[in-house]
Amino acid sequence: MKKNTGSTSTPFFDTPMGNLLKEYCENRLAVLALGAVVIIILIAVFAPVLAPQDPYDLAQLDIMDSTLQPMSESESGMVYWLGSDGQGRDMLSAIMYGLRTSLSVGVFSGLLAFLIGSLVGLLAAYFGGKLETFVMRLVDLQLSFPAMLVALMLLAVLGQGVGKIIFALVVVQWSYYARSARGSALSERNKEYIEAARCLRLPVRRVIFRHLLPNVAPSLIVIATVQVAHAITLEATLSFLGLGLPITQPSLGLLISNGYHYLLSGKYWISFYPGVALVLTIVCINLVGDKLRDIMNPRLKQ
Amino acid sequence: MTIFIIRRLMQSVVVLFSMSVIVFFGVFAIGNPADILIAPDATQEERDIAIVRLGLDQPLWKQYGSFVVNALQGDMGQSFVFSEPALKLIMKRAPATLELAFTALLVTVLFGIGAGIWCGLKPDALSSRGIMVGSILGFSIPHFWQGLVLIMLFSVYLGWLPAGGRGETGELFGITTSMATMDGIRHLILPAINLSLFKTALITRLTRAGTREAMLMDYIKYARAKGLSPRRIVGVHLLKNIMIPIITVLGMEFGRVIAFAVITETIFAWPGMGKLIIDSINVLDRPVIVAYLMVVVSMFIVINLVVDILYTVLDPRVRIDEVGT
Repeated sequence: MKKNTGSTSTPFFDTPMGNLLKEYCENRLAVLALGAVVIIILIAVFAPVLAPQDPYDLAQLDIMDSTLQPMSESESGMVYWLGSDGQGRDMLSAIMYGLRTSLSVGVFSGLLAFLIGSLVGLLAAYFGGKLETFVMRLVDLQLSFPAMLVALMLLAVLGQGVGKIIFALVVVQWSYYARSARGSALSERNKEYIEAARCLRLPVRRVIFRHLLPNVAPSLIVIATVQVAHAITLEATLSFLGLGLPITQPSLGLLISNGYHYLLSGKYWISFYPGVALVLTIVCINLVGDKLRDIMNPRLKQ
Repeated sequence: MTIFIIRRLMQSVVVLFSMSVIVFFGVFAIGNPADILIAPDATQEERDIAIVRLGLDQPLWKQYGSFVVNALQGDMGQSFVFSEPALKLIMKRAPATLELAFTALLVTVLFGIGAGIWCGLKPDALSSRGIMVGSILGFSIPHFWQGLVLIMLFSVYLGWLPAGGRGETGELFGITTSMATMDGIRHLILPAINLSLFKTALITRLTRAGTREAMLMDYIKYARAKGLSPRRIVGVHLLKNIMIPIITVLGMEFGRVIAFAVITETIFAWPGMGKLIIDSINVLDRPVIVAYLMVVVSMFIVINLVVDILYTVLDPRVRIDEVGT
């Protein structure tokens, strides 16, 4: 980051990625958000190492320590920074583990939707015709229903499970990628370099993946950041409603749902702190996505 | 215009039909309802009788066939749990949901457009910046957690408002509603705020953007040059011109409100359709699930249709396009 405060024409920043980085670093809030996202990801990845307690190892739990206030100390000398829940679980550890589940479900489903959606969108744009009409009708139809409702319907029909919620999240999200991939690919398709590639009789696969995709990718990446945040929210919501993940793999949504029953007796911390973790994650990812969108949007550039 | 409506109507029928197939067969894929509905200590004989009574012994396609025929007559089957027609059950719960949805939408329109115009007219004022930051929070904070925080703050900590239930209902213009009694209104406030926060944030941003754009237009300058009062400029000239996108979004948001009411109703124990569907999913009450989904899909199709038509009526430019093609 320090490099770009000096001369702006260092060779490193002349590459497209370097320029992007430089532009990104101009906004302090965006850098802060990116840092926070990195920290959150690290916490999720290293949760077993960082957490003071394995919240799902029954041997480490003591029912005597249940619903402790934040900052209180148990008899064994352990400090519960964020309190403990009804089973005597340390909330901080539970949140770290929950973050792990939430992030992996969000990122994995986002990635899958990204792959499927952009492929379908690219194919639709490249080949046009009936395929395109059909795909776009489907996308329009799906986008006319709120994502939340579609996911709810799917899970009502399919039942619970990790695989099922990922499936539901992919179904909900692919259409965004497909629409955007088609949109950008349509404008790229008629440019000279694609024409040139076709004139060289390169195989269709090569034209799509080596020529079209890299030029469509930036806008898709922006959507991907926002969509991952969306997926995490959606998963948390569905888990809160009891339709998402099973109790064996508690995500942040499920932790909040568990705390919901203690809320009215004033034990706010059981659902409050997982919610704070969730909100921080989503806000930071959204801030990064917003900044990326501004950078990629040529209309905002002078 | 007529052709457009007819085409849209035909599309709607196709959507409805395919939805019914997906939903019906999908719902049958989960578990065997006989295991859940019939007491485990029932004898084989009792089981068989119950299965025949519930129609679970028929082949799937036959069950679907009778479902479609009955659905067209407004009969969506009997709820396994309540032993009442599923559609009647949903319709009984619908007023509570609609009441909540309309209140939320009202809050959205009042606060969203008000705050949006304020922010658009004074983009640099401290209050405007505060509202904009608030709207980002309104976007980012998950709906259900907003609800929990509202309960935490206003019900548990401050003790001002009740945390759940619909409260006392009364008659108002012949409709049973919570709005008729003070107790009902108190119960309505928190769920309505919860349901409207996201939409208010959206409408605020939309109105602000529209206002900022419109204020630079010549017709505003001309109105000002004519010596019209600022109130008239904002209330008539500005509002008329920024309304088109707002009404479209509001129309779509109305559907969204019904979908998100599921969450709000679960949190605030509001006895509407949304709570019913979650309860029904948990006990696998299939006729209610199918009926709810069909009702909501039909609602959406109608809302989308109305929004499309409204759009062409409101915006002459769209109409010209329609004639041209």
